[in-house]
Amino acid sequence: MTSPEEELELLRRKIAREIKARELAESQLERYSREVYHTNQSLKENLQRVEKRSFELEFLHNASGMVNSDLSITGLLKSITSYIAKFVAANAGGFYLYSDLSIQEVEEALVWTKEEQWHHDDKLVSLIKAHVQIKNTQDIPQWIIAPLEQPELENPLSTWLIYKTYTLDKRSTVVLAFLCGDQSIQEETLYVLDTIHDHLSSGLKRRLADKRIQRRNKQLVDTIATLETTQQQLVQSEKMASLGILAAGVAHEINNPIGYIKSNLEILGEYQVTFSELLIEISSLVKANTLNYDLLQQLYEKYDVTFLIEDAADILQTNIDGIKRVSDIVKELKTYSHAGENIQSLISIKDCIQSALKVAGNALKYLHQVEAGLPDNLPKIIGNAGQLQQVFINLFVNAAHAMPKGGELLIQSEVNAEQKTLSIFVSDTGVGMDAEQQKKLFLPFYTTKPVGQGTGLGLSVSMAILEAHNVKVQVKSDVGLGTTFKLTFPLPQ
Amino acid sequence: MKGIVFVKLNEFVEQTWGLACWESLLAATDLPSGGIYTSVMTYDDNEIFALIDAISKQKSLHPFEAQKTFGQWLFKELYAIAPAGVHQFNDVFGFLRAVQDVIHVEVKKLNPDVLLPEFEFLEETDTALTFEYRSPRKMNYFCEGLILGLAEYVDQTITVTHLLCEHKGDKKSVIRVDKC
Repeated sequence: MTSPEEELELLRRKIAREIKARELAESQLERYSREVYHTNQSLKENLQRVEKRSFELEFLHNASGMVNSDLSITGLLKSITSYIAKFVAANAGGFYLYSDLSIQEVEEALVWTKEEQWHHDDKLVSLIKAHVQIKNTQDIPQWIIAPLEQPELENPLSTWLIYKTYTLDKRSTVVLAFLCGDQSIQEETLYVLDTIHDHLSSGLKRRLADKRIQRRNKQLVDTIATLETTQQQLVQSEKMASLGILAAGVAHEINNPIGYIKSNLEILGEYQVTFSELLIEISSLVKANTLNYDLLQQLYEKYDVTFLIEDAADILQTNIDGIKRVSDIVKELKTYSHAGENIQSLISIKDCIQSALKVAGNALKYLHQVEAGLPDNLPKIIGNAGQLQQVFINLFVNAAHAMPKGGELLIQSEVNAEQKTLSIFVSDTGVGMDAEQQKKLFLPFYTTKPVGQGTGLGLSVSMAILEAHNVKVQVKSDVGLGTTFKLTFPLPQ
Repeated sequence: MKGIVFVKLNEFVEQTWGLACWESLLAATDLPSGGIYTSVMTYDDNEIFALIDAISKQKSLHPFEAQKTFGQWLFKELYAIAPAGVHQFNDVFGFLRAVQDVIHVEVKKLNPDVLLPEFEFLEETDTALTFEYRSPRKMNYFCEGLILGLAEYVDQTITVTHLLCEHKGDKKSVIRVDKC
């Protein structure tokens, strides 16, 4: 047991410890308060920094979005200039082209202000341009900060001009310039602006390149259109040239029957005179009532009536045949003249080849033998008869030209049921071609014929026609022995 | 060690053995703090060990028993001043599992630099929970006392067994709690 005095002493010591502990606790709390204050200050500063960074990042993100967008070069410059102006808290801003080229897309004398956005202001533009120290197309690597000479007079709110150049090409530079007050220019802000320099620069260059590509593209499209027209004209020329070559033969073909039709008609005319005389004589005998059978027989014999009737019938038949021949030739020519129409249908290749032979026949009929052993049951193909006729005429005329001293033109066929193809072989026993000639065979304007005989377009045009028919063309040729063209047509499914 | 533990040890000693006992403990230990403790400060770990040693000597208690007894008394004191979220438990195992995720999180909010023990749960059935106790202070018997205080509070009967003990040459301390 403790005495009251001892108890009091213990309590006194305890109170002393409690007081000391409270002082320590209060002092500790003060330290905590100070720490909390400093921590709060530090947090606020960090928050401000983070907000600033976030603002800068948002600026970079949006600026990057503008550069990557489909905006035109002016659209991009307008968007980026006004956006930078807002970012640097500028009073005004603009973009100005320094170039010995005129870039139509970049408008001059435009300026952006907080109050009026984009508008024309010659005075403000002159003020900006007066302070931009730049030679044409000179590239300045960093932002230039220039004091305004008479800020209060020229623009009461602005005291500085900041600007930067963006080189577009060797001859053009765009300057982005901003009028700012004292407070708005911070080095850090300029660093952020520097970050977008390369991206913006390449964005501007890309747009200029796109413009150039578009121009080139248009030129190319125009050139292709011109080429197509020229090609069509060439094809037409080739057809006309082929027609010219054929004309002589055709004229001969037509002239021949026309000639004998003409002389036959002259003979028939003479017969008609004879018949008229006979009729007059008969009439006078009838009038005198002296005509009898014997007398009539004598008159027939006198005028050779039996011969006249028989011969007139022969002459008429010959003329009908001749006219039919002329008519046939004209019909084949009609098919040829319709070769340009690109309509394909189920056709007989044998008919087509025979028509071509008729048209080209004159070139082959004197010195050459034509052996066209095509069976009647050849399967039909899908194609344009007129165009294919043109191809075969071309092949046959070429064959004739390859055999100037005569020879044999052989036309054969082969059906491959498995591959569903029909091959036509056109062979001549002509001069043949060497490997070099064979290589150039289908080139436009390549010809081995003397000047005036060929355009050099025949086979290249034929090739185009055959390609449109999905026909595979193979050529086998030996110099001095002859040439064989193998045309393999796909058969309809 | 946080000041609250010293403040509460002072209270425990005075309540259990009287004012004079605390005085004699301070006299016997001659601590750098002079026994002047406040809950907002942190004190050298050695002071708690010195005080517990002095208690065990003066009251003829094994130091582990002294730690356990103090821990058991301390639980309800700490529980009373704990934040509201801690009071939703009514089961020893549920509370122990939440120690690291809830209780220690709340403690860290007030004392970010505080050193707290870690529990790694090794096995659990409906009636037994085994975990490794990890702390450089190695106060696994103080921990036992706190668990016993917790069981009293939620009105569950338990036994605590030290399957492994660093004080007995084991490399780690593993505690098993059985519900009776």
